Amino acid sequence: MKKRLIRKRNHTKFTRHSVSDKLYQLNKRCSYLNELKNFVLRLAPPTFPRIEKDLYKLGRIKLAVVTGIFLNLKDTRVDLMVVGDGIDFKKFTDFIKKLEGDMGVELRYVVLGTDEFKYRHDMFDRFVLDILEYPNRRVINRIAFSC
Amino acid sequence: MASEYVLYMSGKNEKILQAFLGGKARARIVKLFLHHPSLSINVEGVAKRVGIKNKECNGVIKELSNFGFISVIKQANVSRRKKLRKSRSIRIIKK
Repeated sequence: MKKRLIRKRNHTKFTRHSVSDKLYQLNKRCSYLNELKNFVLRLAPPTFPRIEKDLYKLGRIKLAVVTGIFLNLKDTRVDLMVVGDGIDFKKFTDFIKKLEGDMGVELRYVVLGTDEFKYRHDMFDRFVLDILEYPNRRVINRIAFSC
Repeated sequence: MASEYVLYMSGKNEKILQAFLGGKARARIVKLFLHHPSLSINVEGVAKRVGIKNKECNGVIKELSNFGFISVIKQANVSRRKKLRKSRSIRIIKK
């Protein structure tokens, strides 16, 4: 007679985590999804005077150029270029985060010192010239350069 | 997951959104899911990212789930026990 012994495994107690078991995801078949998306994502974008006002608080800003997402352009290198000295980068990061929150997209930005900007501009740096030649809006313009 | 840059709006816009969607928690949760459509996350994760209490988050997610805005995609292993492999179970056969 065959005896079959099965050694039982020592069951250790598994404490149940407080983490819930269900994972949730956006229902892409929801009938009001497009309407909700449009409503949430297209709330009034930040106005240029407000950006200007916020930028002045960050340091001695000489030039601020907005392009790209602010002007509904897609093929631009950056969305925001800031030229200035003594910029508080902690405040600047907060400012960018706030702006990204309002726009609903990740922003591409560049911060340059005044000397560096002048040097790059004088040597016809492609990056700086691209930003200045493409459609843009100068929110702050306190620097003398020809373009 | 992408950064959490989308969760917090400036005062005016956030107020508008809250007014229309009925509350801070709901507005932020809706915004989170709309900005990250492929994100699959549990209640605690949502609460942590959005900055609200778990209990409140649970209620809002239930509502949104009933509405059809979000769906349950996976029932995770309840006891968190690792799936046993056959080779690990020891059998002693005696004749």
